[in-house]
Amino acid sequence: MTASAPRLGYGIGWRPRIDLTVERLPGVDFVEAVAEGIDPKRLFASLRVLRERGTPVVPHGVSLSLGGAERPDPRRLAHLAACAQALGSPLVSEHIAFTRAGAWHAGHLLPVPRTRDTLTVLTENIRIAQDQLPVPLALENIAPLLAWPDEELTEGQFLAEVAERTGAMLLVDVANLHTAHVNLGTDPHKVLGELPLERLGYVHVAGGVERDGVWHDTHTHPVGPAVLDLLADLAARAELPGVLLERDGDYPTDAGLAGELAAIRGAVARGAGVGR
Amino acid sequence: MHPDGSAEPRRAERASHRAGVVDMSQPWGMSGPEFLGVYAAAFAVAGIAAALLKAGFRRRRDTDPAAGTGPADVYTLAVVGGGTARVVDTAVQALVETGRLRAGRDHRISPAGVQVAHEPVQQAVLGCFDTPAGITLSTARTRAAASAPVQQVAQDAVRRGLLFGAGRRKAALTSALPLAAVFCVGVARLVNGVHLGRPVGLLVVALLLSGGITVAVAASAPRRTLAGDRLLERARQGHVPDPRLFGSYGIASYAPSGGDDMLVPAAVLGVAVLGAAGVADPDLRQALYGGMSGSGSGSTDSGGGDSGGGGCGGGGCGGGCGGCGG
Repeated sequence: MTASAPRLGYGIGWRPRIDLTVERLPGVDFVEAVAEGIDPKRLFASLRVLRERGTPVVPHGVSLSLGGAERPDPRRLAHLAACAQALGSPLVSEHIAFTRAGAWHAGHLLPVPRTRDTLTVLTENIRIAQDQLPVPLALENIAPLLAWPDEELTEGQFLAEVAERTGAMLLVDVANLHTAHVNLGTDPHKVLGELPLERLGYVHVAGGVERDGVWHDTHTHPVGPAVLDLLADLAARAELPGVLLERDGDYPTDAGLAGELAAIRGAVARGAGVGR
Repeated sequence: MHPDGSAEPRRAERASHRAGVVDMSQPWGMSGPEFLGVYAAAFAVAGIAAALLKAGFRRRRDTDPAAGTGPADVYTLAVVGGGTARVVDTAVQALVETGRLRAGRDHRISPAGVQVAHEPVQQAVLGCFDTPAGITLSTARTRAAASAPVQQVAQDAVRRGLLFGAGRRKAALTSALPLAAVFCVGVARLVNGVHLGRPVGLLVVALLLSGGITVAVAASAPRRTLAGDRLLERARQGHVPDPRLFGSYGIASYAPSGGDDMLVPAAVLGVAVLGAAGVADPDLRQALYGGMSGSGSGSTDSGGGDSGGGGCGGGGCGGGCGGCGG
């Protein structure tokens, strides 16, 4: 199943703490809401307002554990599907990661070993999910703090293979690519070069901080120039269907958030001007 | 009519009543319904007396006709209009306007950006928002109303003769005395009725009602002086000089330092004078005040106590189960 990406524009992660702000921020074309924080039977008033206004809302899953050895939890899958239905979403998104094994829950998105065996399991899980979801699925690269030994594929090759085998869209998080660059030495520009950008669903941008040589993808810091440069590089390589700012805490003023969105637009314009 | 004569006394009782003769077979010469009528009338008269006493208290203290006609800053208008709670509401509105506080649809108000204000009242209010998750306006009122800057605004208004200070409680108790006196007569009638084994159900109901009213009158101390009324009325008509300044006249440390950033936006002035009704934006008004009961919304200028509570010292990935990393 291969679906073309909807035109989303520029967006911001909707969070209850900043609901009115998100509703009123100028230039917000779409929002993304963490699916696990939504009750599809009792949607937040703010999300209803946005939907009535015609603003697309993308449910973003964080707990499907598609990279786990077990099959996706039917209840979590049903919840994500119900969120998409209730919100009339054009697509949903999840991570290429695992969050649990048996009864053990990590409470964090953990990287999968980039091997062909993993690809087989991951692909099967993604297909199960796609069968249950009413809309296309976009898959996101995570922010790694570690890598598994003896990996067979680069991150770009792995993501490309997943997209090829499943027909899923890619949610490229440039902040997570920067995280991999700082923490694991990955070349993010090379990763971008390996990705099938015609499968691009949308893009995540977020701020973080480096402490003791480790990059923490906090979502509570302003977006830095390195991440914006990566975004510009990506924009130079392909037309971006959507770009979304993730901010999860330590919120700046409304003007500060608007400034971050403006910086993101600027980076995209800069990249597009150079590349195309 | 009957050999035992039981109908005769009743007939005689009715006859004597028609003739205006006091029936000494009833307690205090009045039947129960007659007493209830007299009690209600006396309580109404006592109520008028209480109102007159309260009005007299306000008039006697209105010795300076010029009071309430001078300039007033926005916090003075707020404390006169709705007490210290309104001062806190006004500061919160100012902080929302400048982006340092953010209201959500769940009625929680959370800090945003750098938490520094340009004047002490706002700084005191900001200090109460010590958690990223935010607090409700009701909690902010409780915490900030006891802070020194907010209390100073109230004390300044008392000093300027716009609010009653010490003595207003005594005035309230005094004005309730006529009601209390009538109530005591009712209680005496109740005791007597119980002693004689008479039915007292309606009297108990009347006493409960009148007792509640008496307590309410005794508790409703006059808050605003006639000068305060004048000030507020002029503010509503837009005739108060300098209402668009932060600061409190007469206290050096509150004097505005000058500059455009000390000018009060119209929405802030609206809250100071009108309370919640002064917030023109319906979504913001609902976010700030929607979680409160009607009496606590601060939308009227009759409420707003002058006391506060305990004072104040000063990420994740949107709540999802998977945590960060995405």
